Amino acid sequence: MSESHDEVVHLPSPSAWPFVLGGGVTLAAFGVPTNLFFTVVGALLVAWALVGWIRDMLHE
Amino acid sequence: MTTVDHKDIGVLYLLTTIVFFVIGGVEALLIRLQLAVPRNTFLDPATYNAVFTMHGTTMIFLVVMPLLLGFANYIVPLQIGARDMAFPRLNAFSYWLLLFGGILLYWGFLNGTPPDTGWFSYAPLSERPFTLESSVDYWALGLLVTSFGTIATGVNMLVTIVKLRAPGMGWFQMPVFSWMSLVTAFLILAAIPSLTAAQIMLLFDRYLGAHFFDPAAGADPILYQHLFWYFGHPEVYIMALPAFGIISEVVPVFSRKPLFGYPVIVASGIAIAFLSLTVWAHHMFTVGEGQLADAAFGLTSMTIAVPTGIKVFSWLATLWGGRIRLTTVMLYALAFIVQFTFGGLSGIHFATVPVDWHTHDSYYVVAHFHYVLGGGSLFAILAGMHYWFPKITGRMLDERLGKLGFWMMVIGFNLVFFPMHILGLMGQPRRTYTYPDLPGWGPINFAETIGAFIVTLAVAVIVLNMLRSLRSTVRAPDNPWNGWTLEWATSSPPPPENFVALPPITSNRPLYDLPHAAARVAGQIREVRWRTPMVGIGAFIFSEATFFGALIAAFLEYRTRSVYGPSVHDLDVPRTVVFSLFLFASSGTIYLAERSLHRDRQRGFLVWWAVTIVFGAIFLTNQLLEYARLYSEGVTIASNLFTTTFYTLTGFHGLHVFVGLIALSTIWLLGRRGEFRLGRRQVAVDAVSVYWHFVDAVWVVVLSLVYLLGLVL
Repeated sequence: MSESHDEVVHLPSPSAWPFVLGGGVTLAAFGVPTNLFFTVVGALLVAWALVGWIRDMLHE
Repeated sequence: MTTVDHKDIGVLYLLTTIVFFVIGGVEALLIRLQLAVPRNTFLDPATYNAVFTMHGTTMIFLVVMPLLLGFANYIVPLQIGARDMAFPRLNAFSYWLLLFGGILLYWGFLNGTPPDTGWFSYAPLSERPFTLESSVDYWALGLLVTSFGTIATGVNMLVTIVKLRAPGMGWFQMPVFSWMSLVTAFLILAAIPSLTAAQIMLLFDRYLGAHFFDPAAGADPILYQHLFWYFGHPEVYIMALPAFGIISEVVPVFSRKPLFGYPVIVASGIAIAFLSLTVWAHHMFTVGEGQLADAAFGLTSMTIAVPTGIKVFSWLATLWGGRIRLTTVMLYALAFIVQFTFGGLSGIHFATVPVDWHTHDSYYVVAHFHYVLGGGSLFAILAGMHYWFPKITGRMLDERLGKLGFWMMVIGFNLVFFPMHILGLMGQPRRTYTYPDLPGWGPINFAETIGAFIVTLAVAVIVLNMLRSLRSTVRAPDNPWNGWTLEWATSSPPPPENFVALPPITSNRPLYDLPHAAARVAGQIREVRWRTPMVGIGAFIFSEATFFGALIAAFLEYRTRSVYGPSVHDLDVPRTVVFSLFLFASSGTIYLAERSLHRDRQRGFLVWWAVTIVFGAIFLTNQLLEYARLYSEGVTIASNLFTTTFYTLTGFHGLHVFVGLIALSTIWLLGRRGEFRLGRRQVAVDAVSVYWHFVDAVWVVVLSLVYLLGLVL
């Protein structure tokens, strides 16, 4: 259930990782009909975004 | 680019889908221009194919479904009194996948190879021999990307509604729109993975030489239709249930009466969701499924009319005796009720098998689903847009312009689609780029084209109204319609934290109870005991089960149908059974690891967790070695039907083991840094553990069906 109303409201901070992860996934898919180079770059973006995402979570 | 606020993301959804709506609308206009007169040459046949394919795909995957999810994103957390969605960043991720997937879909269009095999891209037309260029690939890959986002939204929405309701809001104090969003989330998880599986099979056929839909190898292309419609029919309700939710909000507020039969409305929504998973083959009556299947699917399809009819009667009973305010919002809702019922009735015609045989693939079908999705869902969306516009933007829409837009929309819409019933019964086939000058066909088609332009003008009026309001300086009040649900209890637009304070919640109309000093006492709400991420992983596993279910269904269907080549006897069964024991044992070791962690024994946790990783790695290594052995013997995914399904099923399981190993290793590294001491973040460990148990459980099924069953029979 949601938090009670007298405590300080905690809202998640903005993050660019969802954008990077989404871009990585799409680029990886784009590589299939075009050039697998894009798939490799996309996979690297995915890995980078996941690491960043988890790091952010640890700092909360 | 970095926002994670559900309201910002909701607005992004709405803006993005409006852009795609304009694109899909232009495609519709091109279709109508081509069909305006007989034997027209405005579009050549190939372009026409591409245009109607993109129109359907765009409107379903990039407009109606995400528009409704966008509303749910914005409104549901407000309605249930929450600060945000359960997983705000995952929510942002879903949105970006929609945008990027949409762009990927249109990439094929832009580089000259537009998808042109219809919105369902039936095999074998979509297979390599019949579609050489990459057009189908952009269709499949673009939709795979958006589908991942949709599944993530389904997980997120479900968890949000199950876990984040405000104190006092039990299941039956929940507004109907939120209820329907919950049911829709369930349907998304149950249905969309089936499409994902079909598209992956299609891509494997196209790129790896697999034989999923290749009759020459003994395969049955009808399997594609089954997998597609197992997704496709629930998809109709993914686009209709939230629309029912919007109407169930609007009708009571503008009749000044409580919704008639709230529990029945909710129950019928749930019934529709379950029934919709049992009707898919009514899209396939003409492929010849046999009398028994036809009768069964005809019956289940007709059964859906019962809960749907209950809803319509509930709305009518709500209107009955109410003080009806005929605002633009209400007009759209009333038009929805009439038009949707109309579309529902022609749906019953299609459930009647012999009628379906006659009207299949004619304009009767086109008329039917446009009444459901256009006259139904789209009108509900327009009702919702006019209803929530003041809340989202803090500005009121002009009623006169609103009503002008409404009447043009109603007239234009019905002028386009009503005559299609007649044309369909006269025999005009859908998806054909032109038609002969038969008596009556030309004038009726011409009238439809005029209707399409009236709809275009209506859209222009609606957009103009919105732009005008956005520029106006007059602020909308917090609750302009005297609504009763919680989104009207906060400012317009709401502050980032949504609410300063929530009113007490004792019914599904908290704002009505407020001045009426309801003597009701808040019921004791039983909280769902699972922690939030655990509900999330549970929902995710449910969607995974659908995905594996599709792969397993394909394997079983094709188990004995290979006409040549390798079979289960080429597999090394004893060896696989031995290495499976490592995987099964790892379920035990991960349990021991968790038990140590719960007692805060870090060392024991790390040791058992490491053993789990090693066991998983041993299993995966053996699988890779077996693949290597088979490949060296010339047994590849392209060998025959058996190897196609074998490699796909075991390969996807292996991929899940691989992902699981990455997750396990990440947890282990964090554990070594002491991130899980003293009960901190234990839920992350538990979530990974549950996922690992699921991967094990899938292997129990795969081992039994692929290796053991094959030997026994």
